[in-house]
Amino acid sequence: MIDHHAVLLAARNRLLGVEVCTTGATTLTATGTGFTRAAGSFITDGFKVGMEVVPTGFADNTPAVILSVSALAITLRSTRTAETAAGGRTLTVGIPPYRVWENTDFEPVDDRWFIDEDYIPGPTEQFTIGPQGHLEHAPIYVVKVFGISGSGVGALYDVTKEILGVFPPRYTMTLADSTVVRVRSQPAPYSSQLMQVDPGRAVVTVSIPLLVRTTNPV
Amino acid sequence: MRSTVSFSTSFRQQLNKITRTLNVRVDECEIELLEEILTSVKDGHPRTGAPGQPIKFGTLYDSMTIRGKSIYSKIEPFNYGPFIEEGIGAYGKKLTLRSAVGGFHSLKTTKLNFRWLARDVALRVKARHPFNLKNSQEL
Repeated sequence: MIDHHAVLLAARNRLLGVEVCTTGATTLTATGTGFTRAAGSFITDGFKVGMEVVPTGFADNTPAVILSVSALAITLRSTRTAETAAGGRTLTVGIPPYRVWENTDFEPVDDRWFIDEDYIPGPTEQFTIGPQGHLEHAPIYVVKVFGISGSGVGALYDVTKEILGVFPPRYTMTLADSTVVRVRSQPAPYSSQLMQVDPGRAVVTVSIPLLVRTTNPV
Repeated sequence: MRSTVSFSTSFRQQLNKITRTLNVRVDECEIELLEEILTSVKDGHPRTGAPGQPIKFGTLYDSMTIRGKSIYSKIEPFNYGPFIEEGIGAYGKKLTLRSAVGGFHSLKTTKLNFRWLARDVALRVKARHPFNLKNSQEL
């Protein structure tokens, strides 16, 4: 029979591999209001207004939301401690650090992104004949991506696009017991309309239909 | 030797009968499939895994109807249907299910597992309207 916990963990693990954009290791400066660079381009790297950027290599690596972006400068919605230029630093946008996994408690933090996962086990049907006929299961993995309202669609659309990108139709994940979890193609994964959630948030829901076939343990 | 005229007439009549049967099947499939979809979204369905709508005052539940060839729902002044569907509460927190019936994501599970509903309806309608080409009186 299907191990729904294992399927959920496999999908979650796949989700955590999402990377939307990054500077890569480079020389960056922290100003009181954001970050600057002397070479390269934040715009070319894919950073957009409303994205939550995670810094590394700084004394202060607190994630923050982008207020404006140009080729050489990112201005944040929050202030931070200024730090002089140094190499080996990165700015990355990926799955937000705040993650609400199934059956866990969470209080949303103002001006911070978060994701909320749902797992729907779905129906089961025997699809080959006989007592030991194979069973077909149709779970759905749902990821709700909460961004900041009033910042346009680019940030949320880019993040959800990358999530869909790691779950292309027919992609397979193999569990420890050799069960194969396949991303369905008809219908294929899709994202919802952007919805405003009071106060101050916008959400896009990504639905990933899965297909799992197991033997009947009768 | 059989007359070619009677053979071609009989064949045309059989084709007409098949066409009429198919049209009846399509019409009934449309109607029954809509009803099955509405049942799945409102009350839940074992074939789709949809849990159905949670019920507090019944406003959202009662708003869902069939209009023409569509499932329709409208709530005034604020359409909270999408938030019930996705289980999104205030501030983006997970919505707590306080209803004894129903759950979230009924629309999604119905949509994604629609093929099982469609197959069941098609088999039922097909059984009710078989092709019967043996009785020439019916032609």
